[in-house]
Amino acid sequence: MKKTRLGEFQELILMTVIVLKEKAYGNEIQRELEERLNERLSVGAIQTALKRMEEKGFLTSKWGEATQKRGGKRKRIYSATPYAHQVLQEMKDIRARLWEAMPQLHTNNLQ
Amino acid sequence: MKDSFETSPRWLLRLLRFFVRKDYLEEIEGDMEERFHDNIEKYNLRKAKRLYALDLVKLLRPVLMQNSGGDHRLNHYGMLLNHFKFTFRLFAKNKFYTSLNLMGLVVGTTCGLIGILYLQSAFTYDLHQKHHDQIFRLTNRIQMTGFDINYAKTAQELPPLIEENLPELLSYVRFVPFDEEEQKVTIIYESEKGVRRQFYEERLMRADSNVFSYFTHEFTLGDPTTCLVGPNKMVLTESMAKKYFGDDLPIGKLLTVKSVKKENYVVSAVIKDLPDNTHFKYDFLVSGIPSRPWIPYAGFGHTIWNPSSYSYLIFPKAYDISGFADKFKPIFQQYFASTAEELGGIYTPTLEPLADSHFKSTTQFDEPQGDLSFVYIFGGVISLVVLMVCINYVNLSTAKSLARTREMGIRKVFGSTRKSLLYAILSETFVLITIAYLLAVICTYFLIHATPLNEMIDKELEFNLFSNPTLLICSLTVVLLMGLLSGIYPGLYIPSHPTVDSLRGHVKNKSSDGFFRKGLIAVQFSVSSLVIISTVIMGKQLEYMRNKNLGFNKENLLLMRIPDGLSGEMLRSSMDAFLQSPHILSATYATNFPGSQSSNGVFKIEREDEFVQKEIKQNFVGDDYLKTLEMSLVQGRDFHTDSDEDIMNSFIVNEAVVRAMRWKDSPVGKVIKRWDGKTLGPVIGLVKDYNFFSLHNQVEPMFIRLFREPEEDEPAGYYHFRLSGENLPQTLSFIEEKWNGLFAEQVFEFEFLDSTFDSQYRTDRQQNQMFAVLSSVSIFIAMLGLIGLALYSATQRTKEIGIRKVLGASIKNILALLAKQYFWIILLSCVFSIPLSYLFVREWLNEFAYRTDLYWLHFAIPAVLILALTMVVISSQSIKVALSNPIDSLRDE
Repeated sequence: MKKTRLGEFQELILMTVIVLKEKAYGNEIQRELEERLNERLSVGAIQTALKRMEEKGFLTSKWGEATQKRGGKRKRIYSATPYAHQVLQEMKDIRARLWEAMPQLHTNNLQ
Repeated sequence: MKDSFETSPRWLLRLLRFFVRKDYLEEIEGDMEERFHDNIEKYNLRKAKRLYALDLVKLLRPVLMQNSGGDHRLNHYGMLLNHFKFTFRLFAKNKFYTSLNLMGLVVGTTCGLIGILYLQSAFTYDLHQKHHDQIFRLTNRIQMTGFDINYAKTAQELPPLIEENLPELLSYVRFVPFDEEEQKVTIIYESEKGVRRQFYEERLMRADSNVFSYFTHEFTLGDPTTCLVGPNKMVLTESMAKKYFGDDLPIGKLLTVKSVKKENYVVSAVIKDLPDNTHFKYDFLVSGIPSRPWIPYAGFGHTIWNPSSYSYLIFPKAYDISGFADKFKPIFQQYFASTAEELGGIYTPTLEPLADSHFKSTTQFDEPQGDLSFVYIFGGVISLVVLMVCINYVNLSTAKSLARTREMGIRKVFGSTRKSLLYAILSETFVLITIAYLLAVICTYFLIHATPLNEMIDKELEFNLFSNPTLLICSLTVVLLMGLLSGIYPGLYIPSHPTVDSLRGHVKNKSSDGFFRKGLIAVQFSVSSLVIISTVIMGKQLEYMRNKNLGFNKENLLLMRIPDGLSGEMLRSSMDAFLQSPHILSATYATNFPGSQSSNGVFKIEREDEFVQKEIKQNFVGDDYLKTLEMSLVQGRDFHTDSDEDIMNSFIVNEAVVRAMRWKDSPVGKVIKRWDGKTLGPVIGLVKDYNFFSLHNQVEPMFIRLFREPEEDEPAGYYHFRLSGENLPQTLSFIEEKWNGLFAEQVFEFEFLDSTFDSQYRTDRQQNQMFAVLSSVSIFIAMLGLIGLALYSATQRTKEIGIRKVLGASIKNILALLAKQYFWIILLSCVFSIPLSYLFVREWLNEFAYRTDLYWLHFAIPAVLILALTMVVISSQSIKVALSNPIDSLRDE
């Protein structure tokens, strides 16, 4: 993990990008996430996270097709880098280990 | 679908395009648009628009926004570094010009810093008093027939009466000079170990015990609320404590104050010395203002007609004092009206805000008042000097611009805009000025703390750049202004040559530029000759005052204070003892000496058939007064020395009395009565007018009266000894010996009349000195600029000079050629500045009743000297060029 931290929201977006594969552009990511999280997100929030992650090397992007609905503007398709996959995996492992370490009793009580 | 043809609101889109970063724009604009259409389908057009706007607002994030910083700033930073690099290279290349410029800038900035300090101290008079907006000094104008004085002091019983009758008044504080006549008092300290210290002190006041509740003082020792409560308590300043007690603890020590009688005081607190810019200063405050009984009807010389205390009234915050006059009327009616009617007197009280006392008060018998117009003039001249420095910079850098045309041309070819060249030159200027500022800070610190500058201008300036935010801000503002003023014109001018010409090196200075530079030089020389001529004439006036015949001889006249409580017999025998010295030619005594105060009396004086009431100054003197002072008697006789008939009852008058009384016949024999009508006696003699007071004032009417027995509880005055002027040390040690024999308890102190009399011109001398400093600074700066320009224009014309020499011109011709243009400029600026300096000097001289005559030579000589100095400087700079072998200058191609 080191210096390059991945925020919770950024992690969600990153995973969405991976899930959406070739369809992963701004609006699609937003729609997908809004559905999953069941809350409204803003374009600004999504875009900021995307740009940040691109800067940090979690994402790459390329121009996609333009549609009339977009006012003739092209999409930008995002895809995760191998580094991103690695970081996601690491985070998952850390979490898994933490879950294992948590006392059983505690979770039972909660349920 | 009809809706799908709706587009997002245009103005919002424009806004989006405005602030979103260019490289993200297409994507984000597309996303927004797509989402907008989705929202129309999902909700409706209105809600979609609203959501669009909401999203737009949420796009305002630094990451997505077009950044005015970012890479843009990086560019500037790089350029700035580049500018600095070039600046230092330029400085290294032109060491001579850079040091000329730097010297000027340092001198100018130092002047500016000292000027700011001076103005700051002048404009914050008494503002260190936390309650200054609530404290008002009560002054009063008292008018009667033949009597009209605006006193700074008021009767000490008046403030309590006002407090009783004016409920909104919070309180009052009075300061009563310890000695009513405001003479010096003796303070003695005797320690248990037998150490005895004794000094004359002037600033000893009795004060009300609440003084420290309203007047802000920092206490080193003691308690502000109780230190003056109770009898015989004393508060003194730190430096006084040091003077009397050294390093011993002052609290609880006993000091004996001796004026008319001896009194002991216990030191109860020590305060820090009063700041220099305090109008009303004191070194000692003691408790116990004597309660003078208020006599309802006592006539002149009592109650409000007798000012005795500096009185300060304390009002609530934001109290409107304009209604005070009306509120005072009933008080006046109740207590004073009957006396006023009897005396035919008019009484007008005035309230002065504490902070206005120094510069705006018009009262007499006050602490030394400030001269506000001089403060303004000084500030003005300082700004002119700073302006001269900027002019120097402009002149030198534009003159040097020809040498830089190639640099400018190449910079332009590489894509510099005019704007960025302006920045380049401005940053050069600012680098130089910043260096100059740092050096000037060091210089100022040195000047103020290590040279007698403060003494010279009679101030206690302190230079603490970091604990004085006003100074820091003002000086940085001045530096910023200087930078802009000096940098902008060169910054616009130097890059203005056409690029191609400048690359080919075919640029000529336009003649209009030369005109501009010459104009600036003319301004510089006008300023410096203005200051110099004024300084010279101020000096002339001071010299005139030193040498003017005052109607008495002030040279070689020794003054010593007569010990208090001396009997008439002792006085005469002491005189005889002193007169044993062959070098004391003549001796007398008088209550007052020229240049000190005088007592005033109101008399009824005979004129034709009536007696006219008039206030006249008077001096009580001993035998041989006219002889000792070498005054000349015009009519009548001197006092008889062998009989007592003249004592107190005979009058010798001066010519001013004759004028004031409009006597047509001889004054001798005219009868003079006291104000209450008791006949005193006749006028017996008339003396030529003599300047008893400073030459600022006309000779005033004055009576000389004889006394032989000093009053028991009043200071007797001063011995006046006319010395021969030879063997001065022996004479002085003789007098000291006699003094110690006669008055063992008294310290031997003496003064010479000429120096005490001339000390009245201290302020004038100090102003003259400030001008002298400014004139040397201004001529120095002007010369610096001229040196640079002269050398530059001489090198510019090397070829022309070479050709001229080949054709037979002599060195003299060449020097004349080079100097000619400056000659006319300086002549012109002198012509311009002479009338200006005349106006200024006349204004300054108006302060004096006796003025030196102004001759055209007073103006011409400084002007000629400036001109000559300039010619010398220019020639010394151009001589190298003029002497050079024409072969060298013609060969270089």
